[in-house]
Amino acid sequence: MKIRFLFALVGMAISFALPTFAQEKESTPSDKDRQVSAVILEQSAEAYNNNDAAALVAIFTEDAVIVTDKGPIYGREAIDKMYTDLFKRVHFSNHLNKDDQVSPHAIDDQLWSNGEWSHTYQVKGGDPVHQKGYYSAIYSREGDTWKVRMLTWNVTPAPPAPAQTK
Amino acid sequence: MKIRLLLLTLGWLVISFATPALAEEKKEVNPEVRQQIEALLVKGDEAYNKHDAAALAAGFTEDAVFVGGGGPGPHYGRQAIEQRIALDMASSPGELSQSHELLQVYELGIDVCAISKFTVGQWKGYAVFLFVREADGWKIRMEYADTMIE
Repeated sequence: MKIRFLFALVGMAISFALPTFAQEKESTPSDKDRQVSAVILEQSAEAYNNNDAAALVAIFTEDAVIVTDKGPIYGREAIDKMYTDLFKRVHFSNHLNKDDQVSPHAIDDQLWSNGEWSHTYQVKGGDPVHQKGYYSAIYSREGDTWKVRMLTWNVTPAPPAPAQTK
Repeated sequence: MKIRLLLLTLGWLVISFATPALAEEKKEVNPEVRQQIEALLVKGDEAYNKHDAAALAAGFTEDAVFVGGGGPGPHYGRQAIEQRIALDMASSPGELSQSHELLQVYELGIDVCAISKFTVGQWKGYAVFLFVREADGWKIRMEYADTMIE
C-alpha cells in the first residue's frame, strides 16, 4: 500500500516537472532582442498616433509584406499607398502594441514576435471606436537598422450589444 | 557616337529589366522547398477534412504558437493547439472542406515563411506560417490565420 502511495507521489512529481521542462524549452528572449522589438513597436505606435504614414512606412523593409484579411500587400511602395489612403480617411489615437512574454524569438539572424495591439479609430463624421487584437511580426536587418519584414494581425470581434429592455 | 548611345541604351534596358527579376528571385525559396511546404499544407487539409485533430497538430512543433481567425488569443504549445483544433472540428460535425493555396514562400535564414490563401466552408482568409526544420522534417513554429466570411 505504502509502495503504491510512493508511486503516486512519483507520478505527481513527474506531472509537475513536465510543464517546467516545456517552459524551459521556450527560451527567454534576450534583453537586446526585447529592445529591438520595443523600439519598432514604439515607432509604430507613435506613427499611428500621429497619423504619419511616412513614419510608419519607414519601419518596413523594402520587400516587406503585410498580410491582411483581404490578402497580402507586397513591398514598401504598396504599403505606403495603403497607409497614406487609410490615414486620409481614418484618424487613430491611443495606439498600443505589446509583445507577449515569450517574444521576440530569434530565428537565425532575424526575430519574430507575437503580441496584442489596441487603438481608437474615428472615421470622419463618425463616433470613436475602440478596437483590439493580436499581431505577429518578423523583423530583419536592413543595413544597420531592424525593420519589419512581415506583419499580420487579427481583430477581436466586438462583444454583442446588451439586449435593450423596455 | 551613335554606337556609344546605342550601347548605353541597350545596357540600361538590360539592367532595368534584369533588376526586378533578380529581386523576385531573392524572395522565393528553391522549388524543392516550395513543393515540400505545399505538400505539408495539403497533408494538413486532408487531416482537417478527416476530423483528425491529432494528425493536424502533429505538424506543429512542441512549442508552436497558433492564432486562429475570429479574434481569440494565441494558443501556445502543440497540446493547446490540438485542443483548439478539436473544438473547431466538434463545432462543425458535418463534412469539412478546408483547402490552402500557397501564395509565397521565402527564406528566413534556415527557416521559411509561407503565405497562403485558404477556404474553410463559407469562410476564406489568409494565413502566415513560420516553418522550422526538425529531425523528421518541416514543422510549423507559428501559424497566424485570419478569416472573413465570403
